[in-house]
Amino acid sequence: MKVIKKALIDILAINEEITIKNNEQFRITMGKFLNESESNLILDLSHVSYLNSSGLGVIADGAMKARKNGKELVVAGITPPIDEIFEIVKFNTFMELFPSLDQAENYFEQKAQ
Amino acid sequence: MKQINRLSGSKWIGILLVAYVIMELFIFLRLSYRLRSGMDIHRFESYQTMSFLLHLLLGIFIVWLFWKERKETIQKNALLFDLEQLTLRHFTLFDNNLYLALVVNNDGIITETNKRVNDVLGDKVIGFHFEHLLYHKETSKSLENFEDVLEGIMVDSTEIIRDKHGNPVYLEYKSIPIVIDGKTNGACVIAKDITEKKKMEEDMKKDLELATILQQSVLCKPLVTETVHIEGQYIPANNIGGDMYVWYKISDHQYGVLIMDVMGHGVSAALVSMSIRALLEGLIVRVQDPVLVIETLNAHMHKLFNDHTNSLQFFTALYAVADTKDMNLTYINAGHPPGLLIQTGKTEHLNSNCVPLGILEEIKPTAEKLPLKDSAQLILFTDGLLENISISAMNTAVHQVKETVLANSNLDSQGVLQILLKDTETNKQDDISFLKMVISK
Repeated sequence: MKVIKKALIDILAINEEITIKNNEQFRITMGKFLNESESNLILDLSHVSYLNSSGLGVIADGAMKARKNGKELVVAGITPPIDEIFEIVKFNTFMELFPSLDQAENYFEQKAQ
Repeated sequence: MKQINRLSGSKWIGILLVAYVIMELFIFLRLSYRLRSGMDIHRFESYQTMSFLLHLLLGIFIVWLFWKERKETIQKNALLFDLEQLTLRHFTLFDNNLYLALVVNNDGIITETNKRVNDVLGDKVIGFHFEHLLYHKETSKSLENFEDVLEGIMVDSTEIIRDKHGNPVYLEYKSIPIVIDGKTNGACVIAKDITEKKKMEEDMKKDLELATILQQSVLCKPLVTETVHIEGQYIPANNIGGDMYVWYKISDHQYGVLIMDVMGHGVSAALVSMSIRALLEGLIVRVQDPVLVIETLNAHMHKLFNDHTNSLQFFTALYAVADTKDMNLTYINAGHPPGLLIQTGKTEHLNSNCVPLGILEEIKPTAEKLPLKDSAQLILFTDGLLENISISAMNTAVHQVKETVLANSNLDSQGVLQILLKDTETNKQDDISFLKMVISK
């Protein structure tokens, strides 16, 4: 789990599955990420092949908290196999989801214009 | 440790002194003989000089020996002092240790004990074989372990001993062989009293067993009428979990079925699910309309658990109402795995059409309606079942559920589950729920 800071965008990249073992760490990392970032946040799940329901909770909570603080959290890397779970929980109805990191970055760049 | 020289300086001194006295005696006797028998003066003088030199040398030698002896004595005393200090430190550690510690000899007889041992076992310990302490001699591994220890192997194990009141004491112990010159000379045993920990574990286990029974007991009994038959199975991952399902007869031609899965598992998920369950009968039987039922559940969940907590709580749910007069099925699926409506000729998937409940403050779900043929089966389940069949490909798992139900339509939910779970490794990581509603007109 590492944070990359770019000019207008902060990215939290996850490189492992999110299971009961590291769920708490994910929650804490997300909390820090939300606090320390500017206003455009991307959660990059391109290298994640599995996340459990608690992980989904952390993401939904992250999106809500970001909005409350005038920031925006989007998720990138929504491709198989995790696209299925995101399709079922319909998170796209309250937050932006992108298949690739590039598309997520483009979204913020276009918003800035 | 340096070995102290056996033949100390004082022995040499003693020998030399004796030799000196004998030599003096000899010289004196010889001199007096020679004087009496007339010896010339020069000879006498050179004799005296030689004697003087000899005495001087001897004197120096004796002083040197004394000095060496003293040095050795000082060294010896210093070593003895260190040894005493070391022994005192180690003994203090041994005797006052919070763990039980004792020493046994090669025959298994206890030769030393620390204060803790005497507190727990009383005073009649030293001199007895350690097997007298065992609570269940027949099932004890300690006698076997001791044989390994005698071979020089350190052993970690557990044991139950009998304390001075006859009560069992659970121990985690380490038996360390004392090896001197390559041979084992008894062993030191250090033991941690884990009785309280064990008792707490037992209490928690009992609590959990009660909670498990409670959770199973609130599940709806099979509902059987002329037109419908509803029944299900719940297999929690660790005795207790966050899955729940209910079914109720709303009117003589309407039946409501709801399955839900609280995020996470274990006791906390069970608490949430039991709390939500309390609302379900009233909502399904009185409120009835799927949109209102789901909106109410969402509002309740969001408010109750998410106004104050740090981490988000939510649950997925699939609620369906079957109308056997109008022959249709109305449903809302809030983030839950798809339900299956199996009718002659085709199977429909009741896919998710709403976010899980509790995340958003307000939701506006829409219900979907499907027509019912004369005979239909509604199959609902939680993702624990799918993960058990295939951890990665959900679609494959759903397909397998469908095929198994189709191939065994006479079997009830228990029978179908047995088949579905047969070849899976039962590392049940998630709760499994399975519900079957058969409509036949």
